[in-house]
Amino acid sequence: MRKTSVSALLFDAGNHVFFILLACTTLLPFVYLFSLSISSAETSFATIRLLPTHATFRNYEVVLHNPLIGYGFINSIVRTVLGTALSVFVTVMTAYALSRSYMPHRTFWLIFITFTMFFSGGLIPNYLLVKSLGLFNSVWALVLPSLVQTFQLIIARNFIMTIPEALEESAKIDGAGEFTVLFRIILPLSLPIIATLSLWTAVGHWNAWFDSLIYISEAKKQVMMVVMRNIVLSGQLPDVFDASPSTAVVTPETLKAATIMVTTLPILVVYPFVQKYFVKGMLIGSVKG
Amino acid sequence: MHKKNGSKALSGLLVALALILVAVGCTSKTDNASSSQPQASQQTNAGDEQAAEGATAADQDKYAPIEGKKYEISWTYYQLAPLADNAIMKKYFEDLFNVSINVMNVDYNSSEQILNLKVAGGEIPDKLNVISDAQKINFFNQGVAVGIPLDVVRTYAPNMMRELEENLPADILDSCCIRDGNLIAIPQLGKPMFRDPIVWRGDWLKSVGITKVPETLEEFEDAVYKFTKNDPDGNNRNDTYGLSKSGFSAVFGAFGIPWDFQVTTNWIVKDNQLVYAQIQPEAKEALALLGKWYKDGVIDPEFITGENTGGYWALSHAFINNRIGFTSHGQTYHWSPRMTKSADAVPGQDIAEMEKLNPEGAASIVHGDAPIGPSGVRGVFSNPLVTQGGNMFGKGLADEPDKAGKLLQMLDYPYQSLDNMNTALNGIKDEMWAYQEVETIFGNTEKTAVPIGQYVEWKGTDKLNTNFAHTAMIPFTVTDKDSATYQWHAQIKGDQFHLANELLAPLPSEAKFKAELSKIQEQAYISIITGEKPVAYFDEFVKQWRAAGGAELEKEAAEWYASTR
Repeated sequence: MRKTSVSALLFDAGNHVFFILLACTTLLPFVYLFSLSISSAETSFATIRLLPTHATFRNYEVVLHNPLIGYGFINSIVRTVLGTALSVFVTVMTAYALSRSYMPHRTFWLIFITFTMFFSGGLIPNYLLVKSLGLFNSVWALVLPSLVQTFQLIIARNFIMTIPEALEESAKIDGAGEFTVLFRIILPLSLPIIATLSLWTAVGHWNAWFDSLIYISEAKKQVMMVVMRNIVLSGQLPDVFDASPSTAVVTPETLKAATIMVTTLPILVVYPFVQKYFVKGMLIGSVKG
Repeated sequence: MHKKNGSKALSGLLVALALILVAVGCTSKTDNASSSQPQASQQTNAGDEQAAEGATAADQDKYAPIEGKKYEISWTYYQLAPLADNAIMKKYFEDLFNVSINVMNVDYNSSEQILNLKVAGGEIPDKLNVISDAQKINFFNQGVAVGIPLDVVRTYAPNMMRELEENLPADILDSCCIRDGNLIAIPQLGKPMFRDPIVWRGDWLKSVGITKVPETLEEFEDAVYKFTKNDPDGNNRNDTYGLSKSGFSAVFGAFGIPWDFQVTTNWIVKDNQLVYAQIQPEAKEALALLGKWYKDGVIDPEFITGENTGGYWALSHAFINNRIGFTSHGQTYHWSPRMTKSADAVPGQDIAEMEKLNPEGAASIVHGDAPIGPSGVRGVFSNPLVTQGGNMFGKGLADEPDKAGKLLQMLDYPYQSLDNMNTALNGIKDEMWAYQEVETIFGNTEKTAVPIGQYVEWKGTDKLNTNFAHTAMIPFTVTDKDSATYQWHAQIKGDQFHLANELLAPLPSEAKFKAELSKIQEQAYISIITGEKPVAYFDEFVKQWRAAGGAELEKEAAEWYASTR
């Protein structure tokens, strides 16, 4: 029997109102940015307004015709796909190995790897390492250093540990080797953790910009985020050559808004479909029963 | 069982092997690192020796570029975006000077960090563009950048030196960029005509019955009170204020204290001593006045977050949106009118933005004089005559002094003639730009370089900058005294009412204490203005400031000041 008491109704109403307000507050900057991106550069945005006076898609035309944005997109996609595929593959393999109780020196390896989660070399040693490996100006400088994240490894390992060893033993009795066990039995059962890892890694790669900034100097190989950063930050610092109005022309705010929208759109499109895996994945690593 | 023991032993062996390999790998790396150390100190010694000798004839010859040799010069500059493919002007200058230019794309917004990384990795550019004085001093002291004897610079870049010496007082050039007779950096000049603007809403002044633009602090006070109480925009709503954060510059200036909403730490000379301006009793008087104004509702309550709400930094949204009637936001040229009669003349950015919303208001802008304070002092904040940082000469040039000579010749190019300057700024003459005579609002004609053909849409800095024009070839710019900009600034007394920070070098302990001291000062100032704390709290703040490291800075500043006299 559903409780239809006054307090329950009040609580429901209050809840609904609160969350609707929260949703509106979250949506507001996005709507503002969208309306900014379809306005013409002549509109003054000194006062914030939500509805544009004249809608125009000219800004998007300019943005999409910028070759650097095209290259940036491709570089970001390549980096994300390559990085995610490799990262998930290596992480799951490592997690599988570390989850087997008969792995020699398992505790040592676990401590060794967990140690890196707390201590890292820092910016300059990492930079020197990547440089000495000759990875500059290539997508590998963006993919290899962050190939295995310790936190993700531990979560994956915990998940794989929940798969009963009996399954593995029975496969081995039937003559399966280690790799067969991994690919035929463990992987199909680990789809939830693979989805989670893929999502985390993909989002991480898509948003990453600092490593691209320091390891890549060729304009055509920069990722989308760096291109966007350059466009958006234009005019934020006083230009040393700001000598007179004619010499300092700043990217209009409307163009910056269009750039941001173009960058965010792919993630926006993908997120609703993978959101449920995200939520599920958060709980995956927790202890069960 | 057997198998398990055996595999355990085998894996143990493999682990040991892996660790040994790692140890070997690490050792060879350390050897490289340590071997580069003595090199660095060697260079600094060489630099000292050079300095001791002075510029002998042998030195001059050493720096002479070898005829016909194609030099490879690595280059950094104030880059707005990565260098364009087939950058037009890069090829032009490479052909002109017979060099090969290797541009190291250093993103401006993270320039310090990225430059540090590149230097740590051993890639030191020949033309090293640094943006802060701290980094400049560091690089020189660590031998990353080297000095070139002044006489050599005068031989190979005479026009550049001439411009520098004409536009910069000798003592300032000396303290910023010369060590032991060597030029260690080419500074970027501040503009002596530019300062914080003193901008009034002319239509509001008229509407509240003020006929004379305020000259004294009393008149200033009267004006801002009337802006608040007498509904100057006539909309029957109590939604206007006198001033906001940037306006404090004029108020502090009326007490002789330089202060700007972006540069809040300044040192002034009082009784032959270099003292910290923001803890002086005059600052306390100014704060007391501001506190009184805040209590009476004359200061915009949103002053804490500033007048700019995003986008181009120099826009004062509070002023543009009819919220305040007085501002010192941005610089004078952001509030300039159209200065020529040509069709595509543009006004300063703030005026341009304001015209979109309120053309009458924009047209009524008046530039006033700095208000005179109770002791007869007046002023607003202005930038020092040199900006921070500059262009330095990379370590590699010490080994190849003839390359340094070539670099100096290249840097001298823009200052050799007006045509050269415009070529370095805007591109190839008569292909990308041409001279155009425009009539200025002062009645004379001005010859300006105007983009032509397909390059009209390059007007503005981005495209030029990424094609190796604009800031790439020009270490510093000087305002032409015949230009409309100069004339307009002279008209609004742009070279007067300057109050600048008199400390011209970074202090050794500055980096250590800066964050904490800024926080203490910001909190104290805001709480006194908003009335949260009484004015007497100021003395407490001074004690706190000194205790948190300010005393040490005062000592170092006094030492620096003594060393410059």
